[in-house]
Amino acid sequence: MKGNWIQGLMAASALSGLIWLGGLGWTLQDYFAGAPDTAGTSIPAAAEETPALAVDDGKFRVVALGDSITRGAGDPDGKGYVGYMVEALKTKAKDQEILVKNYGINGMRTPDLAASLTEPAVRSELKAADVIVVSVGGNDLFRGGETLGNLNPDNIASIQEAYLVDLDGVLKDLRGVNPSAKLFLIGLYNPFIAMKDTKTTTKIVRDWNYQAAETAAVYPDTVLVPTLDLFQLQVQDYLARDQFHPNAEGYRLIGERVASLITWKEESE
Amino acid sequence: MINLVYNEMVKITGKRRLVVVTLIIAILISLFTYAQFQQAAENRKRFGDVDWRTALEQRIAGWESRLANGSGRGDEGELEMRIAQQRYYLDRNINPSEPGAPTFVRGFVENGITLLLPLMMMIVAADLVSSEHSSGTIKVLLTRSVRRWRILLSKYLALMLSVSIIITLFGVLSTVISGLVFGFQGWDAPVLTGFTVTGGELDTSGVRSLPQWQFILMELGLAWFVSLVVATITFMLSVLVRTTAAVMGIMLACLIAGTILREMVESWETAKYLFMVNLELIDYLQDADPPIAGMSLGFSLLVLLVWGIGALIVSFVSFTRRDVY
Repeated sequence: MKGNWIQGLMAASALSGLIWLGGLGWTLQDYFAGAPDTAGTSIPAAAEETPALAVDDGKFRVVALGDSITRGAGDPDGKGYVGYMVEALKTKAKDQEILVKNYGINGMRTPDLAASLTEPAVRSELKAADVIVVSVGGNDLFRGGETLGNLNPDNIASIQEAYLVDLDGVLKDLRGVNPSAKLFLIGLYNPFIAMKDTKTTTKIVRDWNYQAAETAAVYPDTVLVPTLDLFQLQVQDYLARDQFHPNAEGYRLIGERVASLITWKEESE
Repeated sequence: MINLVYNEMVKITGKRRLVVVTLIIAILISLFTYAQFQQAAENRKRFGDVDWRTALEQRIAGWESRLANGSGRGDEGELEMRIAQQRYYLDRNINPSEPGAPTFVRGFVENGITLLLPLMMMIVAADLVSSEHSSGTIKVLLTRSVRRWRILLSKYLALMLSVSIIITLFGVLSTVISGLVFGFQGWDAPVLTGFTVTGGELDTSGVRSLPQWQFILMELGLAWFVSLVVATITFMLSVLVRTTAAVMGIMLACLIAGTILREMVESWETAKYLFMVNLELIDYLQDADPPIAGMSLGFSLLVLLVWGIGALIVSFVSFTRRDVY
């Protein structure tokens, strides 16, 4: 009886040994000979990138560029200020068709934005746009919270200097592609207003926004939309759980503010 | 020969080694399952009202826009895979932070391959020969008309069988125990593999996705190989050293030194030829940097193979030539 049991165990062991040897063989085969069979599927995606957009089809085109604020990080519905802005616009002009292209990427900094503007697909969208909204700078300044550890003025000044140069480049590029669209640059708010060093951080953000507005002032139809005031008094009501991005309410405030700046006279001409 | 191996299997099972190993594995798996269950509950409590579906959709949208405006910087293939991977969870309504048994097994094998599994092999292999010395039965064994190498070979084959069955038990037990708690869904969830390191940078151009069951099978194959090599080295020590405690001590020191060394060897390049630095084979299938530049799956397998063969040769030469008194 016991003998049978051990013989069964031996057979099972030998069988499992073979299985695992097979697994090892499969690994080797996959690791050394495994050709990426997906290469074929990604080719057609690249081929279809020659969009020729009709500019005058009566549709109102919005292109959103920038960081997680544009993407809508922190908003449970994922709309972000762009979503709320478009909602507000739709209630203002019911029969106007509005097309939105959102190119926001979490963590994007100004140099990344400058690089992404060279994409043909992005450029052709920009060319056709009636409104361009840009949110960028938050990651340049706060660097995921890293800057909070070093708030001395020299450090901030060097970050700011680099940002302004990059921002100027981006605005110049945008204006070059599309000189007539309304361009809204979303100002920074201070997510750390309820924490220590409030005076310092708020001063930094205020100064940052001022310098950005100065840079934007050179270009026509370019508006810096302030957001610092929106978050100044009740910051906890408007921040998401990560204590950095706005929540749905915060995004709604920003979106409605931008929407209130967009008028329709030009469209009815 | 079969009879000799059978005889050795009787000895191994008679010493209840396999039962001990099975119990240890079962208890550990239950512990980890419980720990993960607790963590999932904790996560639910903390992020409860945030719908994971929207979070996932947002992440996918982020990747898609990155693809669309071309800031992927050569990672387009990988991004597409990741999108497909996350879509799998969306389509099947599986919360990726609360996955089923297959994901648990995958993670458990990954973590067990460096220390836990080698330790289990040690339990079986450590006293295979040395106990014959300490209990004096070696003389009875060697006075038979059977050649010495045949005796040792039968012991080694019995060891191979034990290693195989332990790996199987490991896989089956972790599937069953974690499956009872988390459910059995997700066998064909895509897993990304095919990362290579070129010039210190992670190269994602060859990335492809495999169904999870295949990945687990591959993982267990690697775990089997690692276990076999560790068992062979322990086997050699068991031949060379006569007390089981010393065998255990030496092997333990090696294995633990391996886990420490992997953290600090970056500057000591020749350390990559030590077997205990090369145990983390599964990392090569995933997006992890090798501990020392120049190490790859092929390299590690080769190092382990050389150590295993070397250990086997030493055991046989020593066992057949040594005087027994």
